[in-house]
Amino acid sequence: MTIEQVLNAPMIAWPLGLFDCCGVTDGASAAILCRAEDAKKYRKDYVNIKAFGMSASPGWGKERIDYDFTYWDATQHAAKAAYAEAGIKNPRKELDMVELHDCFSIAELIASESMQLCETGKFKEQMTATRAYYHDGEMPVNISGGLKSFGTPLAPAAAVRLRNIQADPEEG
Amino acid sequence: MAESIKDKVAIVGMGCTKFGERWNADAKDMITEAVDEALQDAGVELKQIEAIWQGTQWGTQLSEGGVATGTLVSGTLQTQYIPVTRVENACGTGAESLRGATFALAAKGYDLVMAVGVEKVKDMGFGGLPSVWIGRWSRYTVRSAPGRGDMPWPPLPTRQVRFEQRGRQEGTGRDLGQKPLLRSQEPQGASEERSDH
Repeated sequence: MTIEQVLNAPMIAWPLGLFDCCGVTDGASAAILCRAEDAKKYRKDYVNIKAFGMSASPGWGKERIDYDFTYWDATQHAAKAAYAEAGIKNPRKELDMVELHDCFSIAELIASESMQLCETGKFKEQMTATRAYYHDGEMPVNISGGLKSFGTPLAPAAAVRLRNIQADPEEG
Repeated sequence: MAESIKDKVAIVGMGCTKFGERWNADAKDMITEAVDEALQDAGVELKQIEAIWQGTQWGTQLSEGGVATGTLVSGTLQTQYIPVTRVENACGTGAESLRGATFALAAKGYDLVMAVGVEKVKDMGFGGLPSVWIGRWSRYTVRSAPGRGDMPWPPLPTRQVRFEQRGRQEGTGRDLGQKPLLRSQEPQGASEERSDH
């Protein structure tokens, strides 16, 4: 795919063209879990869960005409909770790899900033500097290709991201 | 006193189908495919699984807004009376099913559980996602919700006004030929400073 193809793609909702939007897809995924002390019974390279951050916003984005869509308050709260639970003080330095929800191209920027992976408004400069789009980057983001590559079957999408992490035992 | 769940729960097996336009596979086919792979990956049998969390956002096989209950998984896998909990949390549905499974293990309610996510959304008959939220919830319920009257906000414009402010006709989305309202032209008092940014 070329830059021209992306820029000349049919407009879906300005300024987002066809390739800025993920496809809706069918799919299923499954995960088997046990307590960490039992995990060795099943395999050596199990993946420990460090934290869950979950946050439901009051839904202002759908109601308020003055809602600021350039950051996600719920994501910010959820990320903060997860970092606190996992004992992460500086996500930019401590996270080795990130899979995040990029249903639209702009969503990756908003999610990254809301998750404090870079400073607000500095996505382009800082994520380019850390080579966020490459396996050998300091903190690769969505090296699975993200939702725009494999589509979003919604419910199973989170799990496929986990599998990518599992595939790299260093991320444990 | 709540404790952190850090390092208390582990994932020992994962399975995943191909994502895409699966015209020749229904939800049950895909559940079987993913679950078989996960069981094989963990080296366990289905009868060892003690509870299942099933994440499904949309109806899956059913009509728009229909509900896929836990029997979608228990029926497909023919599990024998173990609990199946169907969860939904928008695009976080998959994570939500993992979260349920994780906390149940941390509480020592079970020793070995499974989280399953499935979605069959290509057969809806149109592109994109169904407008269940807008049609069923936003339009009628929000403004009558208790507590909203206490919020220090100006009154919310009606849905029709919101569309017209963006130069579109409500319902059809037809372009009204007007310039959309710019942020700087928004009604007096509509903007507030974010408090927690």
